[in-house]
Amino acid sequence: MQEIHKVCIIDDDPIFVFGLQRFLKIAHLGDEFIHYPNGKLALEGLRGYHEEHNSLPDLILVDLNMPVMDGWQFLEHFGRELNQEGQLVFIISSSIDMADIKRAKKFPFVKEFVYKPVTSEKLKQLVAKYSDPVV
Amino acid sequence: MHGVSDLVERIQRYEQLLESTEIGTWEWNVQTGEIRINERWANLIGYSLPELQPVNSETWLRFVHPDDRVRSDQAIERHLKGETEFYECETRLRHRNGKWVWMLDKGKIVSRNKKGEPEWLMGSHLDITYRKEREELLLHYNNLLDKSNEVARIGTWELNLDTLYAKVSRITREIIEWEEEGDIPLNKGIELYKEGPSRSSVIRAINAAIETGKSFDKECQLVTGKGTEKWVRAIGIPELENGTCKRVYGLVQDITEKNRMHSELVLKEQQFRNTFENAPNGMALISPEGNWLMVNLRLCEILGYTEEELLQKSFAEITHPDDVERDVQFGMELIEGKRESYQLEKRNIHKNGSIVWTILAVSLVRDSAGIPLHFIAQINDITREKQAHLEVASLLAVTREQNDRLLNFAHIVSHNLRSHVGNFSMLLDLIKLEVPESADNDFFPLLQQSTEGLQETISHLNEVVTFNSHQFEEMDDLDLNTFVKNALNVLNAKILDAGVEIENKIPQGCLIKGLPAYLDSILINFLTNAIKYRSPERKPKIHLSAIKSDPYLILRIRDNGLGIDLNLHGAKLFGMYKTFHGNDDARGVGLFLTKNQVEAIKGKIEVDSQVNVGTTFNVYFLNAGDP
Repeated sequence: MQEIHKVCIIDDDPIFVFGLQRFLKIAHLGDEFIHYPNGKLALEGLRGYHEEHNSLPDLILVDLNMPVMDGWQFLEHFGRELNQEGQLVFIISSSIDMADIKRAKKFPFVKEFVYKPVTSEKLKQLVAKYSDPVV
Repeated sequence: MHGVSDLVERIQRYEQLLESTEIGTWEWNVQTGEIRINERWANLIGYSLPELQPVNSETWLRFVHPDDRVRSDQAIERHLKGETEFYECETRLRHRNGKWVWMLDKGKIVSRNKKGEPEWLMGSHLDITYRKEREELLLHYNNLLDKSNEVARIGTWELNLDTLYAKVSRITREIIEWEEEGDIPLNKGIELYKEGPSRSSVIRAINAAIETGKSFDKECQLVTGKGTEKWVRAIGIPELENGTCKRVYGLVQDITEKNRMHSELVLKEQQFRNTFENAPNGMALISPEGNWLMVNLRLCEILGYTEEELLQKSFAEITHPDDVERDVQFGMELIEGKRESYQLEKRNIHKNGSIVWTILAVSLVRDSAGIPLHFIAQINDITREKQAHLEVASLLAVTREQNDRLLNFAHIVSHNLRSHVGNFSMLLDLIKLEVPESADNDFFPLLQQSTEGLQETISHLNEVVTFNSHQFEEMDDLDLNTFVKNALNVLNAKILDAGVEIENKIPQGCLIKGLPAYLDSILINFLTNAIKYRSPERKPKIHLSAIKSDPYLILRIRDNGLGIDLNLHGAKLFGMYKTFHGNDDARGVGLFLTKNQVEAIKGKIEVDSQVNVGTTFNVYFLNAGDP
C-alpha cells in the first residue's frame, strides 16, 4: 500500500475542510493538503498539478453537493481525463441516499463512500485500510 | 198386363218429374241390400251416376258424415219398426269438392214381402245446405249476442203499457238479482231504483217516454232484490202505435265495475299527477320527437323557466350544445329498442345562461302495441355536487403541492442540518483530541449531548423523508423466521444487557410479502420497544408467535413490560414524536415509521396493552405461503 502524503479535498464547506484536515493530520493520513471549493476549480487545479508533477495527489476526497460543478460531474471529467491506475478517490458526503451509493459504484476508481460526519473512529478504520502500516 | 205398362208409364213420368227437380232419389231393398239411386242423387254430391257405379250399400256410407250416420240409422230403425210414418233425418254428405252438404233425407216403406216384413224403401235427398247454414249462423249470432250481453252485463226488458208488466231477460234478472219468476210489475221495477235522485230521474224518464215518445239513457243507482247497490246504465226506447205509446223496451247494463275502475283510474292519475308535480327531482314527459309534453315544478326551478316558457322550448334548446348529440343518440336507441333506459351526466342551460349540471335518467313508455308514446325523464340538479367535486380536486392539487413542498423542505432541512451537525460533532471530536483538558469543562458533555440529540432527530427526519421516496417497490416473499433471527442478532447486546428472555414460537417456513429493509426495520423497532419499555419489577420476557388468518399472517409480539394506557394514548400511539413513558430516549418516530412501513407492504398493526402488565402488538403481513 502506497504512503499517503498529498491529499486533495474538494468541498465547499470550509469548516468541514478545516476539521477534516486536522483529523487527517492526527491520523497521519497525509501531510500536504490542497483544497478546491468546487468541481470546476478542482479539475482545473488538478490538470495544472498533473502537468507540473506528472502525477496526482495520493488521495482525492470529493464532496457531492457543491456549487458550479458538483461531485458527479467532477468524477465524470476526472475519470475521462486524469485518472490513472491505482489512484485513490473517496467520496465524502452527507448524503445517505441509496441512489447516490449506487451511482458511486459506476466509478470504479471511487474506493470509498464516507458519510459525514467524519469521526476519528471512521478515520482510524480508513487509516488501517490504506496507510502504510509502519506509520 | 195393361196394369203393368200403366205402372211403368207412371213411374217413368214420376222419374221425369223428379229429374227436373232438385231431388235425388234412392230405393233400398232392406231384405237384399240392393240399392238404386238416380242421376240427380249423384249430381247432389258432384258426381254423375256412372261415376258412382257400382252402387251398393257401401255407396252411402262412403259419403255420409260419421256423426250423422248413427242418427240416420236410428231414424230408419224406428220407421222399420212402424213407430214412424216416415223416415226423416237431416244428414251431411261429403261433396266432391270436399265440403259437407246438408241433405234432408226422407223415405218410406213402399213394399213388404209375403211375411209382411218391409222390403223396399223409397226415399229422396233434398239439398238443404243453404237453410242449414242460415240456421247455424242465426244460432251463432244469438249465442254471440247472449255472450256479449253477458260479458257487457247488458240485459233487455220490455214494458207492456197495457198490463204495466215488464218482461226481462236472464241477464236483466241477474243484474237486478230478481228471484221471483215471471214478469215484473212496473211499480216494483221502479222501486228497484235507489230512492232519491236515481229513482226520481227514472220515473221522469219513463213518463216522458210514454207521454212524448222520448228515449232515455241514464246512469243511475239501484238496489237489487238482494239489497246490493249497483250502478247501471238504463236505456229506454218507446214504441209508438198510431201516436200512442204501447210499449217501452230497453237495456240495462251493470256499470258498477266500470265505474269503480274509472274512479280508480282517476285516483291513480291523480296520484301520478301529485307525484309528478311535487317530486323533489325534475320530471318531464317528452314526445318521441323531443318536445316537452309535461314538466314539473322542480324542473322549472332547476332551469329557471316558468312552465309555459319551458313547454315552448325543445329539449335541445336547454341542453349544452356539446351534450345534445349524445342525448339524441341514446334517445334513438330507446326508440329502436336497443336499450331499456339510459342515464347520463349532462349540462343544461339555465334561463340566465349559466350551466346547470344534471343527471338525466330516461326511459321510454310504449303502448300495448309497442308504439312509443313518450319518454319519461328524471332530471337531478348536481351542480353543487359538481362544484364540490371541483373544489375537492383543486384542494387535492393544493395539498399535493404542499406535500411536495414539505417533502422538498424536509430534504433540504435534513441535508443542510446534517452538514452543520456533522461539523459540530466533528469539531467537538477534534477539540477532545487536540485540547483534551477542554473536555473537563462542565459545558463540554452538555454540548456533546445536544449535538447527538440533534443528530438523532435529523436521522429520524431523514428516515421519514426516505420512506416516502421508497414506496411502490415490488415486494418479495420473505421468510419471517430468518428476519426475526437476524433482528435478534442485531439486538443481541441489548437483550443480554437487559436479561430479556426471548421465546420464539414462530413456525418454520412462514413466508410473507414485504421489502427486506422494511421488515428489518419493523422487527427491530418492535423488539427494541419491547426491550426498552420493560418493567423494572419483572424479568423481561418477549414472546413471538405467528398465526395465519387469510389473507394475512399475523406476527404477535407480546411483552410483559410497562404497558401503554390506550385510553389515554391510543389515538396518538402511532403519531410522530409521541412518547408515553418517562423514559429519556423515548422516541415516538419509531412507531410512526413502523406503522407506515407495515402499511406500505399492505399490512396493518393492532395493539393491545395493559398498564404494568404488558403490550401485545399484532402485526398483519400479507401471507405468501402456508406456515
